[in-house]
Amino acid sequence: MKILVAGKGGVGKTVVAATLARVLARAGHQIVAVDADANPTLAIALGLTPDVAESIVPVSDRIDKQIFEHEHSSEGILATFGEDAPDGIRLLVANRLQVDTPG
Amino acid sequence: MCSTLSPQQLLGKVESASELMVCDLEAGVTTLDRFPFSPTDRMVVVVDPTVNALEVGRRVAQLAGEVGVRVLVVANRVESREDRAVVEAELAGHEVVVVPDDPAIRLADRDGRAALDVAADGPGVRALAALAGRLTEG
Repeated sequence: MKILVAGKGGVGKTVVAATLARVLARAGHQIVAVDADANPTLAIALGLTPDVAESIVPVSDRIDKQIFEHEHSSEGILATFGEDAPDGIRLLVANRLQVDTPG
Repeated sequence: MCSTLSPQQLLGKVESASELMVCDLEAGVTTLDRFPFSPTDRMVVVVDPTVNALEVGRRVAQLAGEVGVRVLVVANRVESREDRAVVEAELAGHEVVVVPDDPAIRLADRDGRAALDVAADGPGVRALAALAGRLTEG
């Protein structure tokens, strides 16, 4: 089962996602939290420290899109990229914030 | 060389190893076709009582309806009956859950902490806890 949280930036989407994840984890569910936002802020909202949040490697940084589909199992991706968050939550961050560099 | 991983790809790949996924989607209106959806999935659409947030919310709710995902609307920062009425009018036809404006949640946000760690007994977190129950009872 998955719960997707959507909305305009700034409405409190991330706080809602994080709080739902923490509450459901405490209710006994095994939660995988996924940060698919271009600006990844879910880690802090889940209760991770800024240092840990900053150290999380986005999945896209280390996986080639073509290889991803064929060579990595679900469990393997969670084991490799999942960050431990409070209440047993495993967090995956999809992408790094894209910053335009001057050409 | 880095390439951007789409949320669809990541969710599709990881879902079979997960009991319950909670996904914070990209801000704004995102296309939902090619997302792997099943009947138990839920789309939580977060809005506040502003024109732009409601427009985005309405569009996302519509897209979710088109792909058959059940929608619940969360209305944040509702401070009056008028606020609530505006949200319910704009998102007519959808279940709306009001999360009371909670200063403790704003403080958590300011300080970079989890709302649950700072304001677990506050009205905002309690409303979200009730929503969590509704989302998982099917």
